Amino acid sequence: MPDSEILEPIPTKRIFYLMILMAILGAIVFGKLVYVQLFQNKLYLEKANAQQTRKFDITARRGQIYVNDGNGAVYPIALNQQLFLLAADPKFVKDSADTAGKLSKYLPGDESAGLESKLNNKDNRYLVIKKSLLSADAEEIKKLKLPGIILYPQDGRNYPEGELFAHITGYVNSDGAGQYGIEQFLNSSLSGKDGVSRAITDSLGVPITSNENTIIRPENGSDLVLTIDRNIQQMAATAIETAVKTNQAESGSIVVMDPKTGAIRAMVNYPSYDPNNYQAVSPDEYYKFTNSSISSQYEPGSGFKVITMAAGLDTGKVKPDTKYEDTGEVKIDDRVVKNSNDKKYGISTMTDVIQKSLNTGVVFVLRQLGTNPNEITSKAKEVFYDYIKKFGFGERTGIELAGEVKGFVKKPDSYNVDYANMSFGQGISVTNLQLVNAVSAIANGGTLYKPYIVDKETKANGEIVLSKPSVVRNDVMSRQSAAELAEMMKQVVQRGSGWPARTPGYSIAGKTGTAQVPKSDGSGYEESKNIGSFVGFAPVEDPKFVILVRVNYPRVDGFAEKTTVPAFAEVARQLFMYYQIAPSGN
Amino acid sequence: MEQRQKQKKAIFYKHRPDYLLTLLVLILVGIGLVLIYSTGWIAVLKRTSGTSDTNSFFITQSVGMLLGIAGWLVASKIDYHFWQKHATPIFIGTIVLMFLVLVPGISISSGGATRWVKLAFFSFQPVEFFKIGAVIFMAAWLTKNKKNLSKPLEGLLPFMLIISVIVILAVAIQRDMGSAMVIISTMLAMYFISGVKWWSATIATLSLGGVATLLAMLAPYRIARLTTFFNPTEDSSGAGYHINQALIAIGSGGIFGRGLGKSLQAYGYLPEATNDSIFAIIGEEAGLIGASLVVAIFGLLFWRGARIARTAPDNFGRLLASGIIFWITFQALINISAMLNLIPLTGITLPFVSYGGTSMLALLTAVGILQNISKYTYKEVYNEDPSSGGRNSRAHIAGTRRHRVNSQA
Repeated sequence: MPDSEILEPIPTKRIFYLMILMAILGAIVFGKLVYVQLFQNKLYLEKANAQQTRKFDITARRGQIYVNDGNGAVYPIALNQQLFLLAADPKFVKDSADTAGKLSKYLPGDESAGLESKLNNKDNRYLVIKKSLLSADAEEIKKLKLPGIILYPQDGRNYPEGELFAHITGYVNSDGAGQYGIEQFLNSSLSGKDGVSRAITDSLGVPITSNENTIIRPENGSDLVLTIDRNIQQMAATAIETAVKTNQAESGSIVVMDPKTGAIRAMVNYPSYDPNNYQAVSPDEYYKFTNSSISSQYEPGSGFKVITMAAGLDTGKVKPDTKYEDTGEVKIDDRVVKNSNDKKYGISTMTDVIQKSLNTGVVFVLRQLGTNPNEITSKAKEVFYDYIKKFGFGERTGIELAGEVKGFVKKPDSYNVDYANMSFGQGISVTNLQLVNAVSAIANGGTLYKPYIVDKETKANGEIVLSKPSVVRNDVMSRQSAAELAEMMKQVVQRGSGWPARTPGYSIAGKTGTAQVPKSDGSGYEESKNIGSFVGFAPVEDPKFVILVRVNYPRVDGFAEKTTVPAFAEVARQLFMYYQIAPSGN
Repeated sequence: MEQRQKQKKAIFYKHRPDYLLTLLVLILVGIGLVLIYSTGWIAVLKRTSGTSDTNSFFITQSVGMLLGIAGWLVASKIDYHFWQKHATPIFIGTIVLMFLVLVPGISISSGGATRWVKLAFFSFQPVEFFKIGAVIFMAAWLTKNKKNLSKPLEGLLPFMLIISVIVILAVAIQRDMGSAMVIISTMLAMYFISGVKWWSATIATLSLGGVATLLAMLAPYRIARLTTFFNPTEDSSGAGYHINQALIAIGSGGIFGRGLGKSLQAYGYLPEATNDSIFAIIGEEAGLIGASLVVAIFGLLFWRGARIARTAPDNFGRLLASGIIFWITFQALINISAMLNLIPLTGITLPFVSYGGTSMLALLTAVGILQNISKYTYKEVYNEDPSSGGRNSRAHIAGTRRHRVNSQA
């Protein structure tokens, strides 16, 4: 443009209008800005936090479980181990037949069957092939480099002793929760407390370094050392397996307890299962998971006569040499109670009652407890009931194992005949642990301990908690009456049904019991089924152990002396050597 | 006022350019560079999974700035009437550039639109130059047809035809609704400033508004953005996601912000954190104070630009200056309003601040043109005192280098 060009006046008002328009729009923007940043600040900060921060769980290390071996060494029975989840994305599996074939080596037969067709279903994008795969197998599978096969690490548990401690430990399921046994009962102390970290993350959830990030470290679980002696556990396991097999029985249990503390030294049930492979137990065999020493209540039968006798002796109503006449039967109201072998023994002492296991004798003792020695008075029932409770029946012992049951004791207002039955162990149900614990109280002179199985807890911070024997009551019976009862029980082994346990040089006390099994419909008892038990302790003058052996449903004829006493004898004799108990003169 | 009408003279001066304009633009460019340096690396990390240099955005932006400053210096030296003379070839040239995006092998698509041209050593967005071409062409055309502009057949109809061409080019080829909106609005503003009758301007505005609505309905992905606009929280993964994330960024900034480089939304939450959404990052990092400052700078920029337009010595200069300043500030307004959920997202950048080399080059060149216009001042003075700056506030700009160019009664 030449400098000389004539200017034409141009209206500038329009630009001014435009400025006003822009000013208004600018003001709206500024207003919204103030609204969002000032008044909605809190709302958006919350939204920002909600999406930008993420919680990460930090899994606490699960505590491991150990047992002693009696020489101060500890053996692990439950350890942590790295396991893997084997899965597949069938879409990426190239050769289903080849893949299934190669994997079948690592799978139990029923799991590998049909794998090929499952891998052929390309619509399924996630197929779990095997949980809890061992890391050695996982390494091998990794090396196969199979397309579409995925391995996810899992926290797992390894039970080095397999079936031996299965009922004590229980197992940890795939969700990391303890099932049965100590794993369940002490799950919270074993699992510890998971930690959590809160971190600011990017949109994919990857943490960003920030001083706002917080972390709560996990508290690892406690390690436990049990009171169980690995060697005794092994002895008991072998003995019960032999007993069950020779008697063609369905199952059996042994519990070994230290009568001076209540510590459990062995607790086995046969059959057992492998907690490393608990998934292999089929649904109709789930009973194998339960620890029948604490979870199965049964009618103890004659074994319970010692409790009745304890009541008689401790109240002073009978003495070991108190006599009565056994006519082979006792009439109670309109019922007749007979001896188990239908024999009449005539004039008998209380020692005879225990030694020969006379039903009429314990009914006699029960009558003596009351106000009228010729009948079962309500006073008698009350006194008997008190003793039953004192010995801990009808209550959980409180041992650190999951699934303990209470048993069942009829109240004193029950029929007289019910109480008469109870005096020889019918119509009452108990657990192995209750019975062994009650006999412990007889063995130790009248003190009922709380049975325990955890000896030592080592917390993550290094703090060690040692278990101490816990006395439930020390007045179950007098030392004198306990000694008298022990002496009677000694006769069972010396001269009575416990004879197979007789061991020269050692004084052993015990009592057999052959209990009938109530029909499940409540209409009396099964004819061909019985539960044999033998509970005893030794040496009588200074008891080192109490052993209970129970064999369920033996298919060979005979009473408990045949089914259970040999197993008791086997364990007891090994224990004499193991504990290095010197034989005494008699 | 009567006296003024009787005695006034129109004169115009050539003098120093408007350095306040320069300063404002440089501040904005600086803010952009700082943000891209402090926060852009996060976006680089997110986009390339850590495989490229985290400073690559900053380097590209710096190169764009250097090229832009060169363009600015050149444009500010060229007498703006050069653009008037060559308006048509320049416009056609920028249209040809736009067609390059249709050539396979050199075009780059992203986000449902093809807006980039990749040449051997650099890629650019032709639409940015097209904006300059359109403004120059429109300013020249309006100047040439000044007398007929309000007439329906000689003025309004051709104007609408030109706009239609622009819309077709920008929207149909580039699928760039945001740019089309900015260009159309700029054209309308220029049409309005050119002094057409109010009714012509009204008809043009209404009919273009109608066409824009129609077009929005034809492009489905744009509908999504529109419906999202009315209910942003409903769709948290699609278009609404972008708006929500922008609001979270701005809202969480509060008054003072999280601090420079401390954006958390940049970590993959906020899409286009250094491009279209950079204002949200400013809001998050610098708070209300920083965000208001940016709004205020654009306000001041408009004020300076409008002032240059008002005092421009002739019609073309006035229209060109208005067009450029309106384009730049209106684009900023659209961008910021979208971030604040005042209008739907259109996908355009915040001038000078957003990441983008081509955009920087085109914008700074446009500022260079504006700067050249600012060297000339039209002014009405009284007969007695033709050389004095009088009461006016422009004295500081006119300064010592001011010289009288011409005067006319």
